[in-house]
Amino acid sequence: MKKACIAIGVDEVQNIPKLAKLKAAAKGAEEFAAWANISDPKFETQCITDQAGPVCVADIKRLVEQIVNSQSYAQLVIYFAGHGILKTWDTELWLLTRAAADPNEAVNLVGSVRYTRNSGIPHVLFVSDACRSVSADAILGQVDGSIIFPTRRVSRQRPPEIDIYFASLPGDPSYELPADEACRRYDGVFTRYLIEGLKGREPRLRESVDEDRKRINVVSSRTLKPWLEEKVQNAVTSVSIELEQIPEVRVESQPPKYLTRCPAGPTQTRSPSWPISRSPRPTQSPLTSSTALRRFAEDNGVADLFLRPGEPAPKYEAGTRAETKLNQQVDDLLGARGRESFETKTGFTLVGSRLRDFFVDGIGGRGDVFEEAGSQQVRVYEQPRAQSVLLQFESGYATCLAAFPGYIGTLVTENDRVVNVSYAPSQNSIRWFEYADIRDDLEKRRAFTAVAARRGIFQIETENAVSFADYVRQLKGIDPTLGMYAAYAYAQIGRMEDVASVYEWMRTPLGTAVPVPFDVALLADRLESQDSVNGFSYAPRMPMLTQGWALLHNELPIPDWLLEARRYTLPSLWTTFNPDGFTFLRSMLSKGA
Amino acid sequence: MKLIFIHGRSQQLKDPVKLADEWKRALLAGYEKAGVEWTDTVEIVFPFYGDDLARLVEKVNGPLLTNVLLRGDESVSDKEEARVEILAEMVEALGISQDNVQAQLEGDSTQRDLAIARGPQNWRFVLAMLRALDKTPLGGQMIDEITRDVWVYVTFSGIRDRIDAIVNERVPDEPCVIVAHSLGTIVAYNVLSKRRAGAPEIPLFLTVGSPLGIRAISTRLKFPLANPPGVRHWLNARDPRDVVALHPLTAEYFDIAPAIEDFSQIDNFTENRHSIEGYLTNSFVARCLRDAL
Repeated sequence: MKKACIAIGVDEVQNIPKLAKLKAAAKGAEEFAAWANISDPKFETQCITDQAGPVCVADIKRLVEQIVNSQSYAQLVIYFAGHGILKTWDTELWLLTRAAADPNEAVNLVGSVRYTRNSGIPHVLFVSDACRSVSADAILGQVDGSIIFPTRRVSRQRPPEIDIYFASLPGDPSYELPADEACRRYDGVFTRYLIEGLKGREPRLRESVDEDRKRINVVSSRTLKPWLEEKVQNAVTSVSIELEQIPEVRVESQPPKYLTRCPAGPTQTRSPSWPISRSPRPTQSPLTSSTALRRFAEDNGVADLFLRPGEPAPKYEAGTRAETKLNQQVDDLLGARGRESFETKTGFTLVGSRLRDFFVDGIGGRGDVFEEAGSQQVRVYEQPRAQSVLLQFESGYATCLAAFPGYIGTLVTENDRVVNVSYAPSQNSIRWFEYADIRDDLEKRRAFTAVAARRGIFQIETENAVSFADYVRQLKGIDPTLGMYAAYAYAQIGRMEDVASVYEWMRTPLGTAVPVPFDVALLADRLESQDSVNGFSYAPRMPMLTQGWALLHNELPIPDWLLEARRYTLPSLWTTFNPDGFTFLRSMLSKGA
Repeated sequence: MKLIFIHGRSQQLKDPVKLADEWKRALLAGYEKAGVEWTDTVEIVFPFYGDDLARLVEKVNGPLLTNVLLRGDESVSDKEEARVEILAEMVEALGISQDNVQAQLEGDSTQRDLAIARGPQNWRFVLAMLRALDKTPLGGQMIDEITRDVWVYVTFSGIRDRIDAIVNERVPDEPCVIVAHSLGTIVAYNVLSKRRAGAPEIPLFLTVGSPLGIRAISTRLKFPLANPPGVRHWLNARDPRDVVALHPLTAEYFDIAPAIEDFSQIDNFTENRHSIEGYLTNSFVARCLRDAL
């Protein structure tokens, strides 16, 4: 069995003073590579660090392409230590040496994971020992990153199982943490424990699998996950009780896939050394956004749909600041209700912002704005074709949403960044009664989903994927954004056939009058060129969730200007553009480009 | 020692005993050319899956393109993409220009424009590729048939498992030499790859006229490319004019360790440059087999 490892370490991102030079990134990559070289079975290892010169994305892409094209590798590990940023939920970039000078000089992780699914390599691991903070830095905001896996047709015979190791949980895109501060917290701890775990000395890290009709002891992602979560958090809190670093490990791999065989001989338990004097370990796991959200889901009767079955109840202290904040976010969304109808049956209600300008795409596309009950209402006049609506807020920031005929969208912003969009059938549409019957329950679930997505912890586990799919299928006519969340969640765990199903549900029953969200068509690989008679079958002309922008590339049937437009996106769950982005997009859409 | 012959497609309704005899006679002719003698202790085993494959292909309902009348916009489904990719790879590797393919398009201008716009995603365009391939020694009809059968075998796991089981049952649990031809090379590779480490040695695995180097096929194999357990020497022989054996099995197209010995200097005398007789009568092939046996 051939195995490959690419270890990347970048201590310094040039010309961004805010990002302090790290001390342990290159060293971490070297140490990980050293482990890979002596593991059993041994990895064919390449170590790329900035100790020998700038780390360039072209070098990484070349190595990955060689490995993928060879078709002979059963496992690939891509390790990165360095500065990382989040553009939004799950949209992580690994910054390389020249990221400030060239927006492509970063690794677009979510896009790379997506194309790993076509690689034909049965087991792929991404290890990210990087911070996951959202940065408002003007230069970093323009970094798009590159997809390091080649685009290929889907390999159905060898669908990869992908494990992703993150050194920490993601930051909330709404809260910008200084990137240098975030990185200081994570420096080196995760890699140290990861390597220690991979040595397989602790009995609880060992798992027995069958290989060539023999029973062998191995270390797998399944055993490493709980061990790392405990060890890293304990190590960090032993430095300061206020620090929090909980690794996030997403495991798809099933037995008999593993990372390394355990050494023979008696087991030995040893913890890696930690150079700073320890304070007593906390007796209770600190509250995290994840555990608070789980509690909320249980309290509100929606746990069956979204949470992992069989997991022990989380330990937390009720009434803490984090839980209060979480509940507040959900309550805010529940309180944000849009207008119930327009004469045109289609439009938007704005909550939290005021409009400076708007533009309805398409021939004859038009709308108007009026004030009602303290909110601005945007009425869109129905057209037979799918329409995109560009909305600019007073600050100059903007977003682009689909006008779904017969639906009213409620747009919620904070600091002029879009934190939620939901749609409901207009009261004078045929779907209203269906919606009215389940309204209260639906709103609660929808608010939960939106908050979970915003926190980057909306995940569909394999075990409850079927129940979630059934739920969404029932609601397909009520709110197109639910299908969109489902499609993203399925894509994240590699259930591409389910993504295709979501596309089919949304396309078929709603008919051609209601377009499929761009994001769903993108994830299902169903983007098509404009039909000369019916226009586009999807809307709007671009992703509505910021994460979708990371999946765009120049081999998709999309115009070049769309790739350029992503440079104007801001950190936010829902696509938000800076003022220049609005000007650019209005120009492109006006030209019918 | 046992010598296992693993045949390719289109062997249905034939007598496996006669087929085995034909293979042996071709090989004996090769022995004669090489000046080496046949050893009577060699026992020939001929796993036969021809009838099963034909019946299973029929069930899949994948008609030959050259037999169907295309109407309107007929898009290629995801399930059928392997079939089209193989043809596209042949067109590219044989240096057939896109202009040449487009010149083969028939129908009204609307249909032609549609087919050109969608390229290999449209059956009309695929049919044009086949017509462009008609000038090769194998001919468009034969390429269509071979591509269809290979597509069925690599795409439908139930069919693949059935065929593999038939062959696997006849591969003995003792050292043996294996000779496989055409689709049979994919079957043999799959069967051998499933063996456990420490399986009995195969002193020579000889593949002839093998399509394993076609990426549309190698990327669809169930396991990552590797030397099958127990195979001591893998020799691949091909005539570069054989369209089925499109690529040599070198590191560029089939990257395994130890590397396959690729011998792309066969002059297959048969009209289509692909038939088994043209390979087994080659003196180099015969000598290698003699040495291994």
